[in-house]
Amino acid sequence: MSKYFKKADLILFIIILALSVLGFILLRKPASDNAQIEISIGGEVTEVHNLDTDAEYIIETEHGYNTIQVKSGQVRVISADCPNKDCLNFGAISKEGQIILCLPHKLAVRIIGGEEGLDAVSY
Amino acid sequence: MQSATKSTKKIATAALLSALAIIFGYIEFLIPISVAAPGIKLGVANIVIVIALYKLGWKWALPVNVVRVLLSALLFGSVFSALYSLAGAILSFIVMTLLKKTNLFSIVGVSMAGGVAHNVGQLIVACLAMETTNVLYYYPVLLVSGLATGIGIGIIATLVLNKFKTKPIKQD
Repeated sequence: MSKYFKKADLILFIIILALSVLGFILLRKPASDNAQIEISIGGEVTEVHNLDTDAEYIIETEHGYNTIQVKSGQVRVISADCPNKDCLNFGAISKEGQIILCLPHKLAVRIIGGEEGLDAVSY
Repeated sequence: MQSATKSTKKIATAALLSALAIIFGYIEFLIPISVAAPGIKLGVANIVIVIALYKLGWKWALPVNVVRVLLSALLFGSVFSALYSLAGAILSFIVMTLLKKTNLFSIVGVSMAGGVAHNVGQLIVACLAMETTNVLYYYPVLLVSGLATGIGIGIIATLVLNKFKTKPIKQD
């Protein structure tokens, strides 16, 4: 092998890369027509909104606030008073399974699939 | 007399490396390298930890690591960041020490596993702090970034260790 790598290194590299690629494939898919955004604080879902409704949601908790913007199927945090502003750095998410986290505020914003078969039931 | 000199040399080297790691951490704090995804840092200070592990052995590298994390958090971090750093640093250190002991992996391989373990450690703390497994959706990004930074740090550490002309200080 080369100067830097041994065989075991390469095997470990491939295993970890495969795990991650698998995660990308399995966890993320294009948002379905009735996809929703799920906002949760500390593991408890507090709000669910439609992804195709443009709006801004201000989430205020004892920890601070985050402003979430939904625009043309893209979700991003546009302002927050957390110390590290990581939630802003997540940028826009638009696929199912993608997530924005604000660790200091215990906030998670996730895109989830709409309720399956809702249209079929509501005939 | 001989062993006293050796032990003094080790203490001095460990102190030097601790200081260096803190400075590296400080530089990264001053000039945050903007990356594509949040929660990801280059972790330049880990170069020092890998070098300490190979140069001094785990018994000395562990205090270097802990001192580095705690002092960095105290000087330019917060309690919040210290918790994440410590979890990442400890898990990464355990993984690196174990893989090094197998003698199957190169420095780059050990560092690569350490980088991934570092991010996994932080992910576990995030799960506990946020009280949700939602956080796990972020794992693929963290694995890839751990691989990339770990390999980069491993290559630099290999180059530096090759330049160290002195013999490794023997464990007593």
